Amino acid sequence: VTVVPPAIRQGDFVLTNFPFGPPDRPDRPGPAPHVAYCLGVKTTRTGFELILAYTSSGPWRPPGPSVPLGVIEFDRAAARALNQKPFHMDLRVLARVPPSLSWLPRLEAPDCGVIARADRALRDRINAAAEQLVRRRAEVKIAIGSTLLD
Amino acid sequence: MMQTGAMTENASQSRTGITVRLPPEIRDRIQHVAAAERRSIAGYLHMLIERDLRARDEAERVIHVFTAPELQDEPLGTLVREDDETDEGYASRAATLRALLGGQ
Repeated sequence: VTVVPPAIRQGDFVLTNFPFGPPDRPDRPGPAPHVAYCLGVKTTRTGFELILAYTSSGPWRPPGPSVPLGVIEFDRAAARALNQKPFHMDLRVLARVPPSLSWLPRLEAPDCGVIARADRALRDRINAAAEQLVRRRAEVKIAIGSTLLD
Repeated sequence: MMQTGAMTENASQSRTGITVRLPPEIRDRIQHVAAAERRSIAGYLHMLIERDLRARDEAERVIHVFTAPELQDEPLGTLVREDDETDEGYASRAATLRALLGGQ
């Protein structure tokens, strides 16, 4: 458990073993490093935890006139600004993980696995999208692992 | 009777086969639609199921929060504040994250 604040901060795109869920266990590190976005860092009773949002390469599928609430698409230009290929972020798929090597495989590297950082404008945009998601979804249900809670 | 999943399409260890029994007229219609979309019947049914599950997630407003076992019993702690964050911005972000994670 890390007792000093991790170097990973809100706004960082970081390589994580994001827990994908089926067919893999949803409460275990995923099988391969995957880029996630750090929405924030929280204190715990014994250290810290990261709140991560899922990202995936390419546009949201299926293509349509709009994307679901909570999904942000990064087209070629937006992704290039982050030194990435086009991808989308899904704020409806989150993970709470401790800053440990099992969840952050490059934590001990000089960059801690951070591959890009959102500037202030992008962080504000993502936070606004998260706020909108909360505002418009009065009856949020939370799935922890494979258990759905009301 | 049709069979879907690993037995008819892109068999892989992680897929499970199921058997679906349908009236012949529906089976014929599905076959035509699938052929028009250049899909197998199993692939077409798979697509329909995934589409429906996505729609249900939307309708039910589901947010998935995967929680590491180390944090399962951990209450939602205090959000670490960024150096350049205003009081208002910090309060807003903290409230949003609390709500997204199922807190009050």
